[in-house]
Parts: sequence; structure tokens; C-alpha cells
Amino acid sequence: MHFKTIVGVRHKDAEELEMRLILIAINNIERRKTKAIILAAGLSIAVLATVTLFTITVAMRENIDGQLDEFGTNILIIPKYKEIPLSYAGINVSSVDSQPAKELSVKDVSLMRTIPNRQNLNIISPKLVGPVKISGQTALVVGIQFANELRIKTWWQYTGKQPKGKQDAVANPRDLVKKRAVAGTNYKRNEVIAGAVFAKKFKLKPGSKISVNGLTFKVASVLKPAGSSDDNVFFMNLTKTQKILNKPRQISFIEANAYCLDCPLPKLVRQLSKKLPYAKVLGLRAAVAQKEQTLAVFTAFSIASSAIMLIVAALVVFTTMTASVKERTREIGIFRAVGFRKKHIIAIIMSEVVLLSIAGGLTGYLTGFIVSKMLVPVIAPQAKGFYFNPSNINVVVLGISVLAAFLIGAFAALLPAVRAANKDPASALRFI
Amino acid sequence: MPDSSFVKLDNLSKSYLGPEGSILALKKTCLAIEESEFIAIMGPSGSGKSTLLSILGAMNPPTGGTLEVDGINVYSLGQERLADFRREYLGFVFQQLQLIPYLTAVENTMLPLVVKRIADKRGLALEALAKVDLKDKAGRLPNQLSGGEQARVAIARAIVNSADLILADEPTGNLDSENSKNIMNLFLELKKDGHIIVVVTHSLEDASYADRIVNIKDGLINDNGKESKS
Repeated sequence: MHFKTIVGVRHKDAEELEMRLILIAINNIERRKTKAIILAAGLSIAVLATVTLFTITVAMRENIDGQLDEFGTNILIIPKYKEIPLSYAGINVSSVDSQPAKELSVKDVSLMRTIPNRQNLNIISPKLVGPVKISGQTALVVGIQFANELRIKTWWQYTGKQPKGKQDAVANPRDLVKKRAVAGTNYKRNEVIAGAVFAKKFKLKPGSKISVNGLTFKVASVLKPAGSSDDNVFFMNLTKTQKILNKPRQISFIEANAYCLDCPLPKLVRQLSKKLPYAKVLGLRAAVAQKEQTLAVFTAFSIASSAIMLIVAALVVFTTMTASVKERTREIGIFRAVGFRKKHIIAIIMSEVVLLSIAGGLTGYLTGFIVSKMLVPVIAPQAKGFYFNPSNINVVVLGISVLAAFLIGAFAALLPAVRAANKDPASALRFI
Repeated sequence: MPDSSFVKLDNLSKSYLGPEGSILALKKTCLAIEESEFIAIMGPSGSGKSTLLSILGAMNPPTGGTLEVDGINVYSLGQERLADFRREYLGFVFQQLQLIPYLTAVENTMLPLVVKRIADKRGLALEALAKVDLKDKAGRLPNQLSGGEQARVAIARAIVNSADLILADEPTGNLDSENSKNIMNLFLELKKDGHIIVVVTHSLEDASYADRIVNIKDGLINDNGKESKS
């Protein structure tokens, strides 16, 4: 008869079959709303906490890099010297100046742009430092490329002419590059920026004229005191400086700023050292090392907290589904009695959990997103949104949240589902 | 026992392990049921009626003997194939009716078809509901139906898969006499359609609808006054 032909035949209309089983699952969810809400809420809270902690950790990382960017230079390139410098704490005890093995030149700037991680080099600012005569007195001039130097020295404050574009503070570093690219381009070749102490000594103010080695320059801006060596010097166009000092194409040292969100500084230093073997390349990360250490502790705390939350969520799913299966013993008995196979029972239970897990993952991500949006500006105000932009939904994190909730739900519900499938229909229906 | 019988119980025994040792619920039972036969199983509580019905329902393996249905040695099948067997051959009307509370009448009726490879499952379910005169209440949930109507949905669910063998465990237990008569008349109609009906009942009135009454006491069958001998 018909049974003999269908035994062992695999269902071909699997799609239709699953759809029907899912309908049973959906109906049951609707009926047992409280249990469904508890299960979804358990997963939702775990995902919420994980998303919030993850986002804050990422934002804190971006905050540190933002601070690093504000710090200005994080790579310094100086020539290698033949002898060990006889200086300590800024006091030079050598009777003769030691000579570098090879002077740096503007060609080295071009070479820097050929390293594998060149896209991480944000700003390169070469400088030439040398003594000049002003009104019979010796002063120190620093030749700079205004556009690059002013992008690095974001903390400079001026009286007189303000560098064009400097005030355009923006959240995204890519936009920052675009906007800051114009900074300083409004300085002319015959204009200089005077340090505070230098200006005071020579009684200079914005608009004053100074004669440098017989050439006249206009003081465009005077820097406010910063307590750094910038106070004692004046800044001039690099090419002009090379001409005055008679050092064509030569530079004294190079300061650079690199995006280090995804580029370990030591890697960049290695690449630059390889490219410029005659130069000493220094990575200046000590300023944020302490904060990174704190971040590492917070990251570990976040991971541990998230893991605990997810384990608790798995236990909530497990206990809820175990209780649900027990409560539905008779119902499962009926399904088995009318011919449902074990896999059909498992499919019904798992469909319920999967649907609720996805709902929990979605709501968890969305609430986590809202909580993060409120917390990130307070905890990490300088997060640049390189990876996390609080204004936008992060599809990758959303996907991972839903997938994680799905996997936890499915894993935790598997045992109750198998137990349900193994229920003996006769005892379930109290025949025995 | 004729070889041509559709259902054959041969030396069927069932024992359970109770707190005071092994309990023999069925003792070497032999029974043959022909196609389109209506059988009533009667006996006092604890006599083994429900055990016999669950064994016939391919849900409770006997500890001895064999059950053959349509030439198939039922308990030689594995668990999953037993499920297939129930789906293809059997229709149940449980004592408490056992309708799924969150499914409508038509969805409850459709249950045995859900995992079957056939088209228009809903149409077949509506057809079964029409046979029990409940098509107009197809969209109602069980709690929106009277006891008699719920019993008719349970019968519709039992016949929707064209089951050869319909097993009913005290189907009128919770019904008034009017509804009980309607249900028993429905079984008579199903018998006429070629179904085998096996009803476990305490009621002599219900049993009077059957072609044959099988009495059971202390696990022993007395078929039309004749105790089975093996």
C-alpha cells in the first residue's frame, strides 16, 4: 500500500514543510508570549551589553588615536651621527659639533611616500634649522612648509594673521585631511611666523618688518607663548630658508604624523628605517602608552563581561526552553502520534528559538546602539568615528550581533529540542 | 485467526515495571480485525484497554508477540518509520481530544498532513471538517468551540489522512448524550466509508454501535464472550 512506497522516501517539498512547521512555531510564540519575551529579552540584554562595551572600547581606541593626532608628531626622522652625541638633557658638552653621516634632503620626503604603509602617513613636515643675523644679532630660523607644519601644530595660537582652514574642526579624519590641506596656504613666501620670546626680544608684532641676512620679511603672525622651543625661533618658507642658509634642498629633520588606528607605529618605523638607512627614525608613542594600558585593561574587562552576559543568556534560553518543553509534553506527544518525526519536533522547537534569538539580537543591537550613542560622546569625546560612527548603524556589528544571538539561542536550545523529540508519545499522552 | 485480517495481534503481551515488581497489563492477546469493522473494547479501569489501544496505535511496543497491520510487522519498524506508519495508517481520537489550543480547527485538522508530501493540505482539511459538519467553524480556536464540536474536530483530524484504522479512546467521555449519539453515528458513517473503527468505551450504549465487542479484564481478552486462547 501507499506506506510501503513512502517509507525511506525523502521529502522533496522541504521548503513547504519547513514553512508549515515555522507556522506552528510562530503560533506557539504568540500563545506563550511571556516565555517568548523572557527568552528574547535575555538574549537582547546580553547583546545590548556586548554591543555597548564593544562600541565604547572601539571609541576609546579612536579617542586615544585622536589624542595622538592632536599630539601632532608621532614620527621623528633625524640624521644618524658618526659619534655618540655628547649632550644630556639639552646641554651640549661637546667642543665641536658632531657631523651627521649624511644630511637629509627633500628627496627623502618623496622616498617616505614609497613605503608599503604610505597611506597611513598623514602629514610629513620637513624642516631646516639654521642661524641667521637679524639686526646684528644671531637668531634661529626654522624653514617649514607652512601647509604641512600648521596641520601638525594644531595647538598653536596666533595674534595677527590666522592660518586659513585651521579652525575647521571636523569629526572624520578623512574630512580633516581635506579641510586642513588648505591650512597655512595663505602665508606668502616673504611672510614669517614669530615665536613669542623671539618677537619680544626683537620687539615684533604682526605687520612688523624684519631684515634677515639682508632680505626683508613681514611678520604675519606672532605665536602666543607655549612653553616650548617654538617660542624662541621664527618660521619661514622652507625653500626661502634653504636659499638664505645656502643649503639648497637640504633639511635638518622631518616630523611626521601617521594615522595609527590600524597601523602599529613600530611597523611604520621599520618601513621608514629600511627606506632611509642613513636616518634615525623614532616612533613617539610614549605619550599615550599609559592610556593604551588602561584601554587594554578595559578591553579585557569588556570581553569578560560580555562573555558572562552571553553565558547567562544561554542559560536563560536553556532553562526557558527546558520548562517550555516540559509544559508542552502532551502537545509534543500529539505531534508524534499523528506522525511527526523527531526531526520535525526539533525543527519546531529550533524555529521558535531562532526567531526569538534573531528578534533578541536585533533589539539588543538597536538598544546597544542608542546607549552607545549617549555614552560615547561622554566617555570618548575625541573618537573620530573611523570604525564607529555614532550617527550610523554599523551593518557589520548588527550582523555579528544577530548571528551571535542566533548561535547562542540555537546552541542552548538544542538539548531541550532533542529531549522533546525523544519523548515517548504514549507516555506523553498518558496512555501508560 | 484468518490470514487475510487487516489487523492481527498475535500472542501480544505487555508488562510494566511497577513499584512492586513487574505488572502484566496484557496477557498473550490474540485479536483479528477485518477491513471496515467497528470494534468496541470494554472493560473496567486498569483492565488494559488503553494499553491495548496504545499498542494498536504503534506507540507502545509490546514485550511479547507481534502486531501486523496490512501485512506490516509494525514493531519491527524503527522509531522514525513508526512515525511514518502512524501518519499513513492511523487516526487517533484521544480521550481528552488533545486539540492544539493555539491552532484553529482547520489547522488542527491539518496536523497529520503538515509533514506529508501532498498538495492542497488546507483543502483536504476543510473536506474532513465538512464530513463532520464543521466547515463553517474552520477558523475557530478550540476554546471557541463546544465540547461536541471539539470532538468532531478531533475526528476530522483522525480521518484527514484517509487513515485505515481509527482508534478512539473514550471519545464521548466528556459529552452529553445528544453529542455522544452524533459522534457514534459519525463513526458508523466512517465505517461505511471503509475505515476500521476501534473504540475504547465504558458505555454500553456507545458499544452497541459496534459490530463486535471485545471485553478485557486483567489483561485478558474475551472476544464476544470467548477468551483468547493461545
